[in-house]
Formats: sequence, C-alpha cells, structure tokens
Amino acid sequence: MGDCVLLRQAPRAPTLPVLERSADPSSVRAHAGTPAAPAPVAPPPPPPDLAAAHDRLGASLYRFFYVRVSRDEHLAADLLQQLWAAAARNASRVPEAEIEFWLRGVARNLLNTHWRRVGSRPTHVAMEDSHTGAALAERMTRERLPADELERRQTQDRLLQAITRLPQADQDLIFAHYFEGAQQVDLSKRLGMSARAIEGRLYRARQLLRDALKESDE
Amino acid sequence: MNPHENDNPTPRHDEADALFDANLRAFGTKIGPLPAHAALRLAGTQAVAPRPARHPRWLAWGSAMAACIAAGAVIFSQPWGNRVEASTIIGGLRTKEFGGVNIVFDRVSSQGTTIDGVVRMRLKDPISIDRLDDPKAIDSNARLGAAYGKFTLTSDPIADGGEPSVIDAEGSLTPASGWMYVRASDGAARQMAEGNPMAGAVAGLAQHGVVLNIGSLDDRFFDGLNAMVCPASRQSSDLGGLHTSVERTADGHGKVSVGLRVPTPGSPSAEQFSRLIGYARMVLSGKARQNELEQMRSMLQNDFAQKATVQTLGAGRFLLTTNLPPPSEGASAVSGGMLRVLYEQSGGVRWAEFSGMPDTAGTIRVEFDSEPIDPSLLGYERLVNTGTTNYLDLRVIMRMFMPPLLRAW
Repeated sequence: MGDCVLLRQAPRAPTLPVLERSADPSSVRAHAGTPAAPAPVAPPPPPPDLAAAHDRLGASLYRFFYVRVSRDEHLAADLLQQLWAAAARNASRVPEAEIEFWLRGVARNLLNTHWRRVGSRPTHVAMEDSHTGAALAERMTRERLPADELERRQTQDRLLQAITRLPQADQDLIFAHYFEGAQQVDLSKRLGMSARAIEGRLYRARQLLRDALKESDE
Repeated sequence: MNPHENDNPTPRHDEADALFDANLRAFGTKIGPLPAHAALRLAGTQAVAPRPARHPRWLAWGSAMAACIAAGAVIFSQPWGNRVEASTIIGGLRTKEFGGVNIVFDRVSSQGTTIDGVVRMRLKDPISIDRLDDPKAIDSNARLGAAYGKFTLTSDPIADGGEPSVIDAEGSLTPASGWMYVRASDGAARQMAEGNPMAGAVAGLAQHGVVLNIGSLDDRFFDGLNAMVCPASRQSSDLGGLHTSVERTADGHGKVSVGLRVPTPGSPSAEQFSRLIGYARMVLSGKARQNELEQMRSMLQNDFAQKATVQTLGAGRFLLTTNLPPPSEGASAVSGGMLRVLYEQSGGVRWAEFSGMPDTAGTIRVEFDSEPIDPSLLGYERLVNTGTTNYLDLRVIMRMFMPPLLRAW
C-alpha cells in the first residue's frame, strides 16, 4: 500500500449550487405569477468526480465491507465492485458534496441485500449491538482488557465496525497509527502537521470512536 | 500556517483516554493491518509505479497460467448456473496454491518448424495464483526450485529432397547447477553453417552432442538471461495478430509486452473486442469480480464463441470445450482456436489446452503439477559419451565475445 494513500486529505467540498439557484431573482418572478418569459433553468450540478471519490474513499469503503462480512476479502471485494458499478450507473445525479454519504448508504444497502440473498446473516458475524458496544467502550476506558478479550473475534469485529463508521480522515488515522504501526512523527511528516496537531487529531478520533461504540447506526 | 495546527490540543491527565489508547493499541497489535484492496493501486503514484520485470520468461509463463485459469473459471460459471457463482470459483482459484507447472508442446508447428517437448517447473514453496500478478512473488531465484525441459525441434528441409533439420535439446536448472545438452542432426548443422559460419562452428560441436554449462539459478544467471533475451533497443514482432515487444530498461532489466492486434477502430467488432480485452485485463490482474466475469462470459459466449460445451466425466470432473469463431476480416488472432479445460470440483482447473491456433498447428497444454521432478533427469551424466560429447562453459564464451552486459553472466 502506498504510504500516503490512506492519509490523503479530503478535498474541500464545493459551494452548493442549490443556494445559488434559490437566490435567483427570476425564480421569484415566476412564483409571483408574472406572465414573463420562462425562468431560465439553472444548469444541473456537475456530476461527481468518481475517480477522485474512488481514490479518496476506496480504502474506507473496502474496510466497511471487510469488517462486516467476517473479514472475507473476496466477498468484500465483490461488494465493493458492485458498489462502484452502482455508482457508475447512478451517481451522476448526486451532488459532489454528498457523494460520500451516498456511497456509504449504497454500501449499507448492498450489504443488506447480500445477507437477504444468502438467506441470513451468519451467526459468526457480529451484530452491531449498541448495548454491548457501549459496554466495550466503558471497559476500554476503565481497565486494560485481558488477552482473551482482545482475541475474541466478536469483540474485534465490534471495534472494527465502530471504527469504520467514523469519518474518513479519523478512521484512516486510527488504522494507520494503531493497526499499521505508524508513529506520530511519521504521521506528522505524511500529513504536514506538527506532532502536537497529530496528537490532537488522534485524541479527537478516540473520542469519536468511543461515541461510535456507544451508538449504533444500523 | 497549517490550518490543522490548532486542532483540539490533547488534554493532559485524561486517564480514561489513556486506557482507551492502550487498549486500542493492544487491539491493533492483535488484529494487525487490514488487507488493502487491489483497487488501492489506483490511488497513488507511488503504488502504481510499474516495477520492471526482471525475469520476463517466468513472468510470461506466470501470466499464461493465470490466463488459462481465468478463462477456465469464467466459462465454467455458465453451465453450473445457480449452483456455483463465478465469484466463488474465482475466489477459490485465486487462493489455490500450486507447487509447479508443466507446459507440454505437442507437435506445435508453425512456419515449417515443429516443436515437441515439455517444460517442467517446480517452486520451492507453493504460491497462490493471485500472487502471479505480483512480480515480487515470482522474480526471485529463491522462488524457483527446479526446472527441466526437453525438446525436439524439426525444421522442413530447405530444398526438395533434402533432409529435415533436427535439434534435440534438454536441460535443467537448479540452485546448484544448470546445463543444457544440444545435439544437432547433420542437416541441422549444415543449415546453421549456411546461415551463419559462427553458428555453424557451434553446430559442428553439437553434431556429437554438447553439454553447455549455463550456471545455476542465481542472480547472475537471471541477469545474463535478461541481457540475452532483451535487446539493447526495443524489438517487436507481430505474428498472426499477436504483438510482442521486448526491450531493456535503463537499469538493465528486461521488459516484455504481449498484446493482441485489435480490429480496425470503428468497425463493429472493435468496440466489443476492446471491452473483452478490458475484462480480460481485470481477470488477469485478479481485479475482476462477479459483474465483470459475467460480462466477460457473456461476451465470450455470445459475441466470440461459436460453441461451448461441457462434458461430465464423472467423479466431479468436467471437460469444457469451446470453439472460437473462424478468422474473418477484422477479427483478432484469437479467432479460430479451441480451448479445452479440465476442471475438478475438488481441486479446480487441472489443465488448460489450446489447439487449432491460427497459423499454428498442434497443442499447447498447461498442467498444474506439484510432483517433484525425477532427480535422475536433473543430471547430464547419462547423456555423455566419453570421448565424443563436448563440454563448454557458456559463461566463459559469453565473457570473451559478448558485450559487457553479458559478461556479468
């Protein structure tokens, strides 16, 4: 994996064209019933840059599937491929600023469709249970977990699922630092930030992860 | 100033966070890095930088194997319908490990020359098929355990009434030694002498049989092989629609490209063919998933294949036979051939066989075989007739006569 692939900053979202359209005075005249020339139709928003979205979100979307299908690499890859196929067909109407949310929603739908198609969710796939997630978050802040708890597959899956619900940048940071062994000094070089800023972002990511463990969005 | 400099400074003395941090670190150590999806290669220039192929021959054979497997898996997804999904087959094949391969040439004849023979390659450790796309997985001499080959090349006589030219060649390569035995018929020696006096001198030695020391499977051997196989400038050939180019990169490594001639752009079949090649690339690189496989299968069945049949052989064995349409104007070179694949439900593809290729008669079969090579074949002593068989150290000759790059051999 390329060093900088996971840690690339997400580009700033463009200004929403919806706001510009609502400020168009010609549309106000049309509402007032003036028999004037038809209001000029605002151009549709440009289609999202799927290639850029692929580069930016591909890793986290793959992880999203991977940790929810019992870490089956091939199945995760199949689902991801279906996701991009769906995006190629339908994403042209999605505003650029919403593409990440849209892709995550489609990913969830694909996952649910997959479980329906195969009959049921296998018992070895951890359910997203807010109660047990909250318990895990609580225990992780109170004590050092014993080795057998760290090795329990369901506990691991629950944690991984919570991480993959975080925003892209936060989960990239957590995976790079805790799972891939990148030190803070390495991260500061990659991201062009001070070590203190990295420390702050890691702190914030941990707080978000604790919240994510306590909640369940699915 | 970096806008992130002021991101939430870490509170000091947050004991709960420190414990959470420690537990998260412990989880990370237990779980380790998550696998990266192959598509990540698209995400950064560092990751997509092509790595020169150090050992083009091995890579080419690896790709050939992958092609056979992929083609077999794609087509086999059809007759089994709902019982077996393409992604399941591909998933199983990608992780299937094999320890060796045999490539059998059965009366393969083209342009007046016929080849009969076999190449057997064995790996030190089994390798999964999905790693064939990774040059690092197969370019090391630490990977190849042993190789043995035996060929007979027969060329038609130059003039009517003349005798055919026959060259018997046999050789083996192991980490300890490497040799090649060549014996040329009188006709072959004469033909070679007529073509090139220097080659004629070597052929004269080969009339009585000559053993060539070609070194062992080490870096020097592969560097020499690269230097010999890859010309200083790019060379390309176009034979029957198959385009091959060989070139040497700036750092002395070899690079081999193989492609198929695409029909004239704009013709009805050009788009179909381009799409098929696109799918084939995804299959070969292991990136194809169910959708692409379905599309590729559909194209093979409906657009390019005349007929595809599956014969049940019993005991979970199936034989696929598919005919590609005969050559027509604008068609590609893959037209007109036949592919047969033996598939076993217990072990996947056993072999794939190509025959009826355009401009080429005979059959090429790729077999997966992990059985060790008979040790008696790996020595040349049985081929030596004391007093008549010559022995040459090919590396010494290369150092004397060849360009500096080859002298390293």
